Amino acid sequence: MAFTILQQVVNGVALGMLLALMAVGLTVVLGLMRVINMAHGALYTLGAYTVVTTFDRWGFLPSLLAAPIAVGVIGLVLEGVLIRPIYQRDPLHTLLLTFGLALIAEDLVRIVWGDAPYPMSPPELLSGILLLGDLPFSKYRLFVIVVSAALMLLTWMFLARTQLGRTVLAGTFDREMVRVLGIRINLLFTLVFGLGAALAGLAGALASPIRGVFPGMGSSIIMPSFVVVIIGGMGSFGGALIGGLSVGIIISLAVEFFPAASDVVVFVLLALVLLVRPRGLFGVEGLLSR
Amino acid sequence: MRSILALAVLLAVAPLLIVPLGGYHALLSEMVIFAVFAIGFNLLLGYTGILSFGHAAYFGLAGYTMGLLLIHSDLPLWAAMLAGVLAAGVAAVIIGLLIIRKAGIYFAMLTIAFGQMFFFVAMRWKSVTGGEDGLSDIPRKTLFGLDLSSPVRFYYFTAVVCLAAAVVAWRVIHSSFGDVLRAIRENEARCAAIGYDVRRYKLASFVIAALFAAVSGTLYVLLLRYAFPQTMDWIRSGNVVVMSLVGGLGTFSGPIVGATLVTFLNNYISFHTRYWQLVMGVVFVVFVMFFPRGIAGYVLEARRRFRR
Amino acid sequence: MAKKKSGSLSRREFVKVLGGGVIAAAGPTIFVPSRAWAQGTGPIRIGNIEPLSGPYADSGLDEMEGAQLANEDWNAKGGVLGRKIEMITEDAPSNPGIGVQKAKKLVERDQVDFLTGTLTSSVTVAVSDVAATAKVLFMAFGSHADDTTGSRSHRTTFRTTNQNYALSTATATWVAKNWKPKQVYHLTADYVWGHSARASMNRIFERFGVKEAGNDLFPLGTSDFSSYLIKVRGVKPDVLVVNAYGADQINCVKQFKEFGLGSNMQLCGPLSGTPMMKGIGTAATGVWGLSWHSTVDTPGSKKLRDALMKRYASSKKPEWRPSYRHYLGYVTHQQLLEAIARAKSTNKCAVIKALEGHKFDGLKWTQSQWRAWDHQNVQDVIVAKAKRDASWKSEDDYFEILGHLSGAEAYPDEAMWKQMGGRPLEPMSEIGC
Repeated sequence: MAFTILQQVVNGVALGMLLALMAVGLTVVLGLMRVINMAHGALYTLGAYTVVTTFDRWGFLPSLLAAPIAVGVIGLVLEGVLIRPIYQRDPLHTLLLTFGLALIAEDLVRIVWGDAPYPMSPPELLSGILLLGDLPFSKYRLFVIVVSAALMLLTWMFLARTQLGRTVLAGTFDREMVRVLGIRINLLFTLVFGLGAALAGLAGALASPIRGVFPGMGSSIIMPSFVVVIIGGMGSFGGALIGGLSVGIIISLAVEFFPAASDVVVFVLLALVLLVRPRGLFGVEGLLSR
Repeated sequence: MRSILALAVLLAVAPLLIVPLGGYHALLSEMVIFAVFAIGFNLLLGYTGILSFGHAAYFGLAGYTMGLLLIHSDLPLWAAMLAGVLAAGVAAVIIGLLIIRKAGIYFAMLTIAFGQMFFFVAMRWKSVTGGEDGLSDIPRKTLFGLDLSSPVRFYYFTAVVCLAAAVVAWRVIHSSFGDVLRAIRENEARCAAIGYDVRRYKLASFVIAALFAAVSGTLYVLLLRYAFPQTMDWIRSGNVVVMSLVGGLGTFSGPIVGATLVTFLNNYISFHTRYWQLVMGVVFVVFVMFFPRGIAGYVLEARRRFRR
Repeated sequence: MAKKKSGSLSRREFVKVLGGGVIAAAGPTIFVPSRAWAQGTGPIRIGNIEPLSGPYADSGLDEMEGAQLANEDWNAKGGVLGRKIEMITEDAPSNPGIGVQKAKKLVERDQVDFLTGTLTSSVTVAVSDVAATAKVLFMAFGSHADDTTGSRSHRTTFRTTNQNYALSTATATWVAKNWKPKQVYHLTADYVWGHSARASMNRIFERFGVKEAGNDLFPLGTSDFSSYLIKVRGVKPDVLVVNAYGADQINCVKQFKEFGLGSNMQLCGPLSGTPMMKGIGTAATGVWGLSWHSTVDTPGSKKLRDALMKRYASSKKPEWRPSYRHYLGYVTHQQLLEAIARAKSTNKCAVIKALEGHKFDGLKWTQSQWRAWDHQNVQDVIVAKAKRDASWKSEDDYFEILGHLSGAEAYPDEAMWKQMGGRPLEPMSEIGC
C-alpha cells in the first residue's frame, strides 16, 4: 500500500511538473502584462503537434527541442501582431482576443493534422519501466520530471539572476516603475510572452506520449493550469511550481482513494486556499487585487 | 422607453421574418433566450465594469434545478422555474461573497475556476445530474394552464420573458442604483470615497446578472427539454461575453443584438462547415481588434453624428 | 462539402420556405409545418446527425461517407419509388444539447422524412427522444449502450449498432474460455455505456467462475491513466478489462504498454475498431469485440469494402481502409431505403412495419434481423485480437479476427431484456399510426 502511494506521488509529480510549466508562462504573463492568456492551452497543443510532425524525421530529442522553439516563435508573433496593439485597452479585450485565438487554433490543428488522435509513444530508450528495488516506475515519467525540473531551474535562474529577468520580476510588482526607469517595456513584454509560449510548447511536447495528441488536448489542461496559478498566487514563480506539484499529487492520490472525485478535488483545494489565504500561497498582498 | 417599444414590436413580428431568413422557430427561441442572458450580463460587464467568465454556471444550475423538480416532483412549471432561479441566486451570493473582494483580471480568473467547478459537479454527480448523459425527457408542463408545446407558442412565451427582462434591466439602468454601478465602473476608488459600500453594489450586480442567466437557463432547458453539463462550461461563459462585446458593451440594445446575431451565425455556420469554431473565432478576433465598441456602439455613434 | 445541398434544391426549398412564411403571416397559432406538401413529390429527405467536429469527428465522417455511398447506389438506380434521396448532414459534437437542437432544426425547418446517424450514447438517446416526440422515424447508428433499445426505447427508433450486452457477451465468453482467468479488474468510463459494459462482462464472467478483483470508474475524457494502472499493478489481476471508447481507450491502452503491464496480465475490452487503433499505434494489444472490420471475409463485406475503397480511397492515405463506422452508415441507409421500397411509401408507419422483424443480409456470417419488440439489429459479434507488428501494412492489419458469436447467442432474450429494464415500445396508435 505504502509503495503504491509512493508510486502515485511520483506520478503526481510528473503531472505536477507539466502543470507547473504551463502555469509559469500563464502567471508571469498575467503578472507582468495583466493578460489572461486563454490561448495558452492552444500553445500546448501546438507543442505536441510539432513533436508528432518532426518525430519521424528527426527523432525524439530534436523534436523535443524544436517544439518550444517553434511555439515560442508563434508566441512572439501573436504578441507582436495581435496582442500589442490592444494593451492600452481593458484587459477584457486581450482575454477575449485570446479566447478567439484558442477557438481558431483548435480548428487549424484539425485542418492541418486531422481530427483523429495521433499515435505517439515514448522513444524506445524511454519506454517501459525502471525497477527501483521492487518498485516499478515509468521511465518516461521520470524523464518528464527531470527535464521539466531542469527547465524550471533554468527559468528561475533567468528570472532571479539576470538583469533582464530581474526587470521582469520587478515589472510584475510594479510595471509603472519599470517604465519610469526607462526600460523598453514593449520588448520585455514580447520576450516574456514568447518565453511563456515556449514553456507551454515544451509542456505539450513532453506530454504528447502520455496524455494523447488530439485537437482538443489544450482545453483539458488549461483549467487545472488556471487553478494552479490561483493557488500558487498570481505572478509568482514559486507559486506556480508548488501549486503545480500540489495539484498534480492531489489528483494522483485522489485516483487511489476517491477516483470519482479526482477532478472536483482540485476545486475543493482551490476554495480552501481562497478561504484561508485569499491571495494564494505565494501571492503578494495587493498585487492584482486592486 | 422607445427601445423597449421597438423591442416589443420586433419580438412580435420576428416569427414572420425568421423563416424567410432560413431560420426556424426553435432557433428564434434560442436567440431570444440568449438575449435574456446577455441583457443581464450587460448590467455586470457593461455597466458595472466587472468581467465574469463563469456566469454559465448559474445558467446551468437553474436549468438543472428546474429540470430535476419537473421530473421528480409535482410542482407546477412556474414554481419549478422560480426554484431554479432562486437556487442559482443563492449560489451566486455564496460564490460572490467569496470572490467579490478581488478585482479585474484576478476576479475574472476566479470566476472561470468556480464556473468550471459547477461543470465538473454536473458531469460527475451522476446519480443526480445524469452525468455526461444529462437530464432527459424533462416535461414541459403547462404554464398557468397555457399549453407551450408548439414551437410558436413557446417562442412567444420566451419573447414575453425577454421583454420583461428588458424592462427590468431598463429600470435598473435608469435608477439611482444604476448610477452607482456606472460610478463604480468609472472610478471605483472615488465611489468608495464618497461613502458607497462598493463591495455590496458589486455583489448585487453580480447576483442580478446571475438571476438573468438563471431565467435564461430555465427557458433553455424547457426549449430543449434537456439539461446537459456543457451548458455550464467556460466556452458557454465565454460566449456570453462575446455576445456582449459584439453587440456593444454598456449600451441597452447591444446585448440583444449581440446575442441574436451570434446565436444565428453559430447555427448557420455550423451547417456549412465543420470548422465553424474557426469562423466564430475569426469573427471574435476581428471585433476585438477593430470594432471593440460593438455594433450598437457604432450605430449609436453614427446616429449622434448624424444629428449633429 | 458534400453535406451542402445543390443549388436547385435550395431554390425549391426557398419557395417552400416562402410558402411557410405566408402561412405564418396568416397568424402564428394556425401555422402548420408544410410537411404534407413535400410528400410524394420531391426527393426523400434524410436528416443525418453526426459529430463532424470535436473528439469523435473522425468516426462521424466515416459514418457519413458510408451513408452517402448507400444513397448514391440508390440514386444511381433512379432513387427509391422514383424519388431521389437527399441527405442533409448536421454537425453535432458529443454534446446531447446540440444533438437536440440539430434534430429539432432538421425536423422543423428542413422537414426531413427520416433522421439517421449520431455516435455517442448521450446524443443518440437525446435525439431518439426528440424523434419520438416529433413522431419521426430515427435510424440510430451510434450508441452501443443497452438503454438505447432497452429502458429508453421508442417505437420510432431503430438501432443498427451492436448493443453492449452482445459485444460484452461475445468478448467475455472468448476470454473466459481461452484465457481461463481467475480474476479480472475493470477500468470503466463513468457513464451509461461504461457501466453497462462492465455489468454485461461480469454476467458472463460469473457464469465461468471468474471473480471481479476490482473496478475503477474514471471520468470521461481522462488522459492520464497512470494512477489507475499503478493501482491495477498492485492488485495483479489476470485480465484487465478496459470499458472505454475513443480517446479514453487509446490513452489507457498506450499507458498499459508504457507501464509494462503486458508482461503481467492480459487485456480485453468489449468494443474497439479502426478509429481507436489509429490512435493506439504501436501500443496495440488486447482482445476486443467488434461490429465489423475491413477483413471480414464474406462476399457481401468484400463487395462493400471494394465499393468504399473505390469511392473514397483516392482522397485518403495509402494505408487507409474503411472502418466499421462506414459499415454502420452504409448498412443503415441501405436498410432504410430498402424498407421504403418494400413499404412503397415514405410514410413512417408503413416503413416501421416493413422493418419490424425483417431479416436481412448484414454482410456477416449469419442473417441479421430487426427485432420487432425492441427495434435492435440482432447480428453477429466479432471477437478480434489487436496487433501492430512489423508485418503491419494497412489498416486491414489492425485486427486478427478470432471468431464470432451469432446474434442469437450474443443478444439478450426478451426475459433478460425485461430484467435489464427494457421498456415496451409505444403502441403504434400513440405515434399516430
